[in-house]
Amino acid sequence: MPKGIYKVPVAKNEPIKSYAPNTPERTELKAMLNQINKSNIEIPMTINGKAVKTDKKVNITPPHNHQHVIGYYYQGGEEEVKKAIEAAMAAKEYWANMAWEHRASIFLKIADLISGKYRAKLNAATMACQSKNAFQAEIDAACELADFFRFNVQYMAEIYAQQPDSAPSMWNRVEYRPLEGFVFALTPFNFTSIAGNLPTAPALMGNTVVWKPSKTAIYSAYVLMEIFKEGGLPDGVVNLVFTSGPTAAKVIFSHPDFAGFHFTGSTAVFQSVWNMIGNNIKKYKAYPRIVGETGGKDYIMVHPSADKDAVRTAIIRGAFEYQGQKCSAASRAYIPKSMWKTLKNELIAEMKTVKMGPPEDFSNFVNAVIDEASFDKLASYIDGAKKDADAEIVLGGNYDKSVGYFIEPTIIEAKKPHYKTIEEELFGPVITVYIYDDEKFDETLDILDNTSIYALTGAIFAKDRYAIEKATKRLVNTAGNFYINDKPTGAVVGQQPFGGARGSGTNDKAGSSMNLMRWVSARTIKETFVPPTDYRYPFLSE
Amino acid sequence: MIITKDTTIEDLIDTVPASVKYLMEQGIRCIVCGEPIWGTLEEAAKEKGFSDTDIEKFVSDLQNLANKKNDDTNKKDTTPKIDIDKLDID
Repeated sequence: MPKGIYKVPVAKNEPIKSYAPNTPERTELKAMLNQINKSNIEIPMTINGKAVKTDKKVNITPPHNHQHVIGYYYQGGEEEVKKAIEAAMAAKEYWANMAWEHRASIFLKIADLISGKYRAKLNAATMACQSKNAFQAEIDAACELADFFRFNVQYMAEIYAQQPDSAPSMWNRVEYRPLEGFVFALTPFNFTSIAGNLPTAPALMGNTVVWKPSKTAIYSAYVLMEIFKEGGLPDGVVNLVFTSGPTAAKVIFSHPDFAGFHFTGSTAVFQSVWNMIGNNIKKYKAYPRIVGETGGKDYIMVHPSADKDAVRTAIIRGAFEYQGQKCSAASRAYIPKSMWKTLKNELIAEMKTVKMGPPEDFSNFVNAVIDEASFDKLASYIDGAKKDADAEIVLGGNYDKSVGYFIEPTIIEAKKPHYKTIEEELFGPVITVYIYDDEKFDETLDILDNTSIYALTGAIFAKDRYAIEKATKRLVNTAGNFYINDKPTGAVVGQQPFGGARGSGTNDKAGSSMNLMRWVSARTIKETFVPPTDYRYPFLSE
Repeated sequence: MIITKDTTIEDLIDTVPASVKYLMEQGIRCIVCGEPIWGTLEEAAKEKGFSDTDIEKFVSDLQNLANKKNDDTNKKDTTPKIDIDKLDID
């Protein structure tokens, strides 16, 4: 039993390493990449701490070199999902009853393992299998994930400290119990940190979890399980299964102990899940928590007073880093006519200096998109723009999948404000710009608000403070993460809680106490020291 | 692979990559946020308002793509295009 009211270590953001030439981190990371590229990694599922194999092996190939096999994983089915649920339920009682400071210690240790001993391995796994460059891997797999663990521990302690007042002769307390059942985490390919956070945020609060990662981010998930084990996470707390989403969903959403869903992915899948949960609602012991972040059509709104150099940089970084495969990626921009001609020429000139290729070559800023299906989809949009009179390709527009799935960074100029690539989420290195008459700033704000179903991130670029204030107010519901004179990507844990509403999800702000509150069920305890022994109240006397 | 209206979108994309472009040309976005949508070909098509007759045509066209892919695979040169040892830098 705790014998003190403990203070957790104050969380600080993990410093980002530079990977500049002749640095030790660069040497170590390149060595790890070489090792991965020459290996034949065998990846089983992990259920109740045990390796689980099946007779179905699926190869893992880097998106930037799709004929090179670096390993394989074992594909599971309904049986493995059932076993994972059983393991989670069996582990639940002990885990839920572990003192919070011991749960906190496990995750603080995991954070130190990620930022230390396993930094190169986790970054290299992310680079090799998800085609991130060294910097994108570093800010994600190493830094953001360590931040999630350290800040979540701090937020957990803050939540537990939130207690009600007590009147005389009584003591009121609130317990933040874990949910009654298990949580299902369904994670995306594009951030190893999100893949690690979605199962562990509920686990930190005492829940046990079934985790299904994206099939294109299996190796980094497996490395994370290795780290969790070394960090002391007991068997069965997080169970890792490799199967299709619908297969997992069929078993999980019909299970009476299903208690919560933690998701990052597409609107289409999230809505399918809501339907399934709704159809099964009478089966569950309690109303499940449904938490999801589901994409964006994130904007850069440029006022005529904006700093053109800052806009140019925001477009290049915001739209093309990690090949635009971020929910927060800048994928539409509204640019005043007075700026566009010069900006366009500068973008074209600057982009000639940007290299694209495999991440093993650290001079490549842009790497491959995640798989052939994504490549074909993006190529389709680009081909459509080439043929359409309502669009013009001003930069890029080329693609090649002979070796890896490479899409050139592309800028489409839309002649109409609701052209399809300015409405639909593309999830690639393609940004669509709409050029507006300078005097139509207000009207363009209205157009922006009424374009696309999403409201995840957006940015206003202006030096005119009245314009900034106007845009901030007018665009209030267009983004859950709103940026002033900065690109709409790169939210940092502890600084910019992340999430959006409308079609972008439930806005439960990953990396904040708001998210952790979704994984607890509060119990209020009132203890009365000297209870009454006569039912009569004074007003009853005559 | 035999394709029917009950084939899941995920299986379709995995085995017939050309189906992505084909379905997009019909207005069916089958890949969102880098992941396949859930459900069958029939469910995805019905959601977009396609009729049973349309769906039968989709099945036929996709089966032709699948058969063509098998023919191409039998002829395809799978020799790796990159010598992985050349990726040793420094």
